[in-house]
Amino acid sequence: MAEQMKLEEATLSDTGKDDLDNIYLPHLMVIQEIAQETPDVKSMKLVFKDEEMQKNFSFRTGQFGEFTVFGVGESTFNICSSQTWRDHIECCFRKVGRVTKALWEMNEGDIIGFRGPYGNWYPVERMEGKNILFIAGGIALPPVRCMIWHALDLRDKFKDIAILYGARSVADLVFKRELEEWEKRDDVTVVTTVDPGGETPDWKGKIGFVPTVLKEMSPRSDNAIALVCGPPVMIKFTLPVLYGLGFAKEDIITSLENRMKCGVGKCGRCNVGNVYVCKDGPIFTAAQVELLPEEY
Amino acid sequence: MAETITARAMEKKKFADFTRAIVDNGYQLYGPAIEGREAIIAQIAEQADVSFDYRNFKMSPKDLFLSQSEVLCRFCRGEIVPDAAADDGRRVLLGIRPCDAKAISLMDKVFLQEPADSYYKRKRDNTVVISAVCSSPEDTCFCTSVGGSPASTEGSDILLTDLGESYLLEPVTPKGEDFLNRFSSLTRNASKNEVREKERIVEEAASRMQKMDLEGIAERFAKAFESDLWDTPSQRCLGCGICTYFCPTCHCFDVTDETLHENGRRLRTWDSCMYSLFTLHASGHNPRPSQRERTRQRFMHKFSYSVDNYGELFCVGCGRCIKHCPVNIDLREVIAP
Repeated sequence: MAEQMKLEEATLSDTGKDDLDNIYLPHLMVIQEIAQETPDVKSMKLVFKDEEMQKNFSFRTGQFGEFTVFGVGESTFNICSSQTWRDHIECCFRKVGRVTKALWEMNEGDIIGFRGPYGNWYPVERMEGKNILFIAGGIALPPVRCMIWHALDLRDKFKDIAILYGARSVADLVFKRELEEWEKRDDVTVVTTVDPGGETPDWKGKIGFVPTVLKEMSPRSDNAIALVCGPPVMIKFTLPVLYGLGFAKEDIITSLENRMKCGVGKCGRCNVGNVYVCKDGPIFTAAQVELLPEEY
Repeated sequence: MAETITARAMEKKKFADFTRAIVDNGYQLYGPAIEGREAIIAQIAEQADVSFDYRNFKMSPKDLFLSQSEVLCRFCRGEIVPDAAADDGRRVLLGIRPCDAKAISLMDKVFLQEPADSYYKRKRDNTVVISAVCSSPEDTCFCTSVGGSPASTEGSDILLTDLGESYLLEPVTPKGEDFLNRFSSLTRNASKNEVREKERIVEEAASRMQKMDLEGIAERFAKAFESDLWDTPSQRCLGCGICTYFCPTCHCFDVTDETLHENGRRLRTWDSCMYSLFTLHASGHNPRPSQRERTRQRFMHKFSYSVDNYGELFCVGCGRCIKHCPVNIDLREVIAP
């Protein structure tokens, strides 16, 4: 018994170094900073508890992770920070399920678990030298925001950058302070919109659904790539507008979400047809998505 | 033939010595036991009388490799406590039918593919699989339609055939060969007659099964995605998931946490694509909203997606899903050309 106790003490603070081949073992991360984005959305800055781990950790913009609230479970979120930031990662979530409700209650300094990075990433090499049009709806700004920052950090590598972001109401816009920051820059065009009825008296942005505003914006499609993330209904009505503007299906990129558990193509639930979103995605072109059955 | 050179034989009266030697050599021995009217896989004590005159085990052996429920890690006050209780014992799995052994080889493709699943791999590496040739298939069996046979060797380390007076023991893998060599004093070279007798048994068993022509089923199913093929089975389906629990190749799992006071653990548990919760998003959106999509997923996964992703049908024709379905959904009626 005494021996057993000693063993447990010795391993209590271990981050799983003795079991490196265990793909299900989370790494510990400290919540460095929390920002409440909307009444039910928060974003978090996270650093690995193990400094070496933080130093050696790398990922590609657009990848995702499995985030643990110990004792409650794991949730899948996009890493919404850019690969160009090396000192921390960020995630953003809506308080909607069991894990996200528990995560909502956590404080700066608390410990969570992280597994990743998983999945593929934005085809950055293909986007370089092109005009980039970012389109996001609601809580889907975070998976676009990582690429926005990536492009802004390496601004010279990209041509014109335009951002169209819409939400149901002004209160539902996430990363407001960053939207303001981007608006102030002269090397980015930012258009924000809220659904009709979602505006406030002092709202200065557009009023209207994303596809309608996109049509008004009428961005040029030559030498351009569009990155679109949002609720299925937004995607459904935005794609025809993009096609109408002359965007090829190969030049429209999106990030799919399906319920996941393992993140590495084994637990068998995130597949859309013969494709695993966790392994073959989450980043797909509209041309690729078109070939998939509508199970996303 | 090469097989006749490597095949060994063992007199039946020596088999008890064999099982005892296995246990004495530090292996945990899992093999056939009778529970009520069913044959089950159970841990066998050294002195047990083992016979192979059952048709197939009620449950497949997948639980021995992918436990129905297993601890992935433990934690205490936000720190991870490695699970010291991980079982590294060497095991012998004796008497599973070749269909179930083939199912293990299919699970290998999922769990040993990079990044390998260390829990599965450890159990797989530590186990010697001795499968027993199937001489009396059930009415629900159709292994020959899905590329198997009553004597297929995939997933087995050693193939055993009950020849009446003796057992034929054919090593399949180097691991099986090494294992048999350790017990060489109990075996002798098999005779040509014994090998011929095995072939006769296998032929007779195969002849008792109806063979469907499933050539090109992956493409046929891919084309039928939006068809009414799924209507009949899905309208009847209760969504109980029993087909997936009995299936030797169904491997989908859930990962959940549970806690008691400060101590918690993360569990990996069998899950089923037949349940609505399987794919339900936190937002309430469900990509497979009805039993129709879920039934289709089960069939597509086994007969189309698996062919695309692993080059194999993920069905071994054991027929358990047919035998145990409470509303008599017969998979053969769906897959038949």
